[in-house]
Amino acid sequence: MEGCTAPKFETVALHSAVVELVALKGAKLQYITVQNWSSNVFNLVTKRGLAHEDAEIKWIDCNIGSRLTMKYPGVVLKGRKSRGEVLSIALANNGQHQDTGAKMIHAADETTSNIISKSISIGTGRATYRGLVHVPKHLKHCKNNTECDALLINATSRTDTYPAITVRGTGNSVQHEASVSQVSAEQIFYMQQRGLTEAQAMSLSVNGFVNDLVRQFPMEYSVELKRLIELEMEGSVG
Amino acid sequence: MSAIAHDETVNSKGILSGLLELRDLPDWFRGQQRAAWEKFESIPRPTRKDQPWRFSNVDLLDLAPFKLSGTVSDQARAAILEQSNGLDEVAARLVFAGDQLLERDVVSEQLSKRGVIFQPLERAMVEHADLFRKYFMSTEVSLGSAKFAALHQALVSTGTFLFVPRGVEIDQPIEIFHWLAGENATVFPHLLLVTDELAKVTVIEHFRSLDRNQRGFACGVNDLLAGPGAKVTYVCAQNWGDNVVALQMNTTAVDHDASAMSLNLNLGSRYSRFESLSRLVGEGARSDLLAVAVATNEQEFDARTLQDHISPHTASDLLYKNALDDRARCTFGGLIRVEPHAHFTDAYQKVRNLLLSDDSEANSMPGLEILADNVRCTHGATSGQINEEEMFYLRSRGIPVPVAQRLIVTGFLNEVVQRLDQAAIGDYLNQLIDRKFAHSR
Repeated sequence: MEGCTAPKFETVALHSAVVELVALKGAKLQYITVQNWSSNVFNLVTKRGLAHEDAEIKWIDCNIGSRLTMKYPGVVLKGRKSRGEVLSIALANNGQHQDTGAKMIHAADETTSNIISKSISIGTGRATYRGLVHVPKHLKHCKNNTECDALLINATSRTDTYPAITVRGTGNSVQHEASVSQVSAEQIFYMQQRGLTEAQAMSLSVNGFVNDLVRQFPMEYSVELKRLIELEMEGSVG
Repeated sequence: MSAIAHDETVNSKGILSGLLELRDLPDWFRGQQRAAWEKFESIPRPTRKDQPWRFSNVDLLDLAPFKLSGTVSDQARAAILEQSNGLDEVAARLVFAGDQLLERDVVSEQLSKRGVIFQPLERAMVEHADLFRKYFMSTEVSLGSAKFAALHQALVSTGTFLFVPRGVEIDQPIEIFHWLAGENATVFPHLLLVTDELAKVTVIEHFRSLDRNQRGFACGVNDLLAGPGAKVTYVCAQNWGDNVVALQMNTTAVDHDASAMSLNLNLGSRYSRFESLSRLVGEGARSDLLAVAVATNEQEFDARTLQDHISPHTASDLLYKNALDDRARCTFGGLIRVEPHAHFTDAYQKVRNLLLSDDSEANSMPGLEILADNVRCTHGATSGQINEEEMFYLRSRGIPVPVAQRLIVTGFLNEVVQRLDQAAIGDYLNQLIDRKFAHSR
C-alpha cells in the first residue's frame, strides 16, 4: 500500500516513479496506490509486474490529485495460469487530466486478466482510459475482460477511451466494454426530496458509481477513498 | 443502353510519374488536380508509428509498380460487360473499367424529368458546374489517408455524380461497377451523392477484378450528403482480385432529421483499407455504419471509422463483424467523438471478431472522446472463436464439421446483413459470402 500526498509547493513539481513487482510461483501480490498530489504536480509513473506460474498480481490504483497523471500499470503474464488484474478509479476535477489505464501482456497458456476502470470527470476535468491487451498466437485458453465506465458531471467535463487489443489464434477470448453516462437527474431529485442537498446527493451518487469497485479494497482504504471523493465533490455542483 | 467511345490514347505511365495533361477537363478542375498532386508529394508516406496506421502493414503501400489504366481491349470490354451482373432490378447503372466509362443505363425519363441527375463526373462538372464544385471533395480526409485522397483527386478522371432533388424517392437501387483490368492496373473510383430535402435513394457499388490473379491498385473517394430528412443507403461489395491493394475513403454528412446507412462487405484484395467518416451535422440525424469481412489466406482488412457528433439529439450505431481464417489480419480503429454542446447524443459501437485459425490476428482499437455531458455512449469489442457447444450440437445432428463451421460463421455475419433490411441486396451479399466460402474450403 502506497499513499501519495505532498504539501503544496509554489512551483510546479514532477513526480516520476518506477514500481516493479515480481510474483514468483504461486505468489499473490497486491499493490494499492491512493494518489492525492496537489494540483500542480505532474505525475508520470511506470508500473509493471511480472507474474510467474500460478501467481497473481493485482494493481489497485486510485488517482484523485495531480495536474496530469500518466500511469498505465501493466502485468506480463509469463507463467502458466498466472493472473493479472487492474482496478482503477480516477477522479478528474477542474484543470486536471487523469490519463490512466492498464496493460496486459499474455505470454503463457491459460492466463487471465481483468481490467476494471471507473472514471469521474467534474468541471473541466478530463479522464482518459488508455489500454493495451496483447494475446499472441499459439497460446491457449487466455482470457481478458475489460470494463471501462465513465461518469460525466458537468457540461464542460470530458472523457476519452483508447483501448488497443490484439488477439491471435483460436484458443483465446477477449472482451472489452465501455460506457459513458451522466448522473441521472431522477436519482438526484429523489434524494433531494428526502432532504439531502444537491451536493450531498451528487456525492452519494458518485460514491455509488464506484462502490462495487471500492468494496474490493481493504476496509481502511475504502473509507479513506470515500472521504476523498466527498471532499473533491464539494462545491462541484451549483 | 449506349456505349461511349473513348478516344484517349493508350498509355502505361507509372502513377507516380505525375499528372496527365491529355484529358479534356475544365481548367478549374485541372487547377485543383495540380494542387492535389503537390499535396500528394508533400505529405510523407505513412509509417506504422502514426497512430492512424497503427497495426497496418504499410509496406504494402508501395505504389511504384502501378500504372495508369489505358483503354481496355475489346475482348476485355466484352468480358467485363458480360460479367457485370449484380442485382436483378435496378433504377440505373454505370460500368467503369479503370478510369474509363464502359456503359451506362440512364435513369428513367420519369426520374430525370423530376430533376434526378445521374452522370459521369466529367459531364457533371461541365453541365452542373455550380452544384458539382460546391460538393466535390469538400471535406478533408482526416482518418490517415490524406495523402492518398490527394492522389485520388490528382488522378481521378471519371466517376459518378448523383443528385436526388427535393422529395424524390428512388425505389430501386442504383448500381455502379468498378473493374480493374490488366497487370498493375489502377482505378480511382469516385462517387459524389447529393440528396436534397426528404429524398430517398439506395446505391450499391461493386468492386471487381477481371483476372483475380493480377496485381492492381484501387484508391477511391466517396462523398455522401444526406439533406434534411433524406434517407440514404450505401452498400459496397468489395471483391477485388487477390493481389490488389485497395484504399477507400468515405465521408458521410447527415443533415437534420436525415438518416444514412452504409454497409461494406469486404471479401477480396490482398490489403484493403476502409476509412469511414460519419458527420452528424444536423439535429435528429442518424447514421448506421455496418461492415462484414471474410478474411482468408494472407488478406488484411483495415477499417478506420469516426462517428462525429456535431449537433445535439443525434444517434449513431456501428456494427462491424469479421471472420478470420488462415493467416488473415483485421484491424479496427474506431472513434466516437461527441463535440461540446452535442448533448443527448446516443452513440454505439460494436466490433466482433471470430477467429477460425491459430495464425489469424485481430486488432481492435475502439475509442471514445466525449466533450459533452448529457450523452449515452457505449462501445464493445470482442474476439473469440466458434463456441464448442454450438459445434457439438450441430455435429450431434449429423452435420459434418466443415458444414457446421460454415453455418455458424454465416449465421454470425448474417446479423449485420439483416440490419440493412433490404431483402434483394441482402440475398445478393449472402451469395457473395457463400461463394467465398465455397472457394476457400
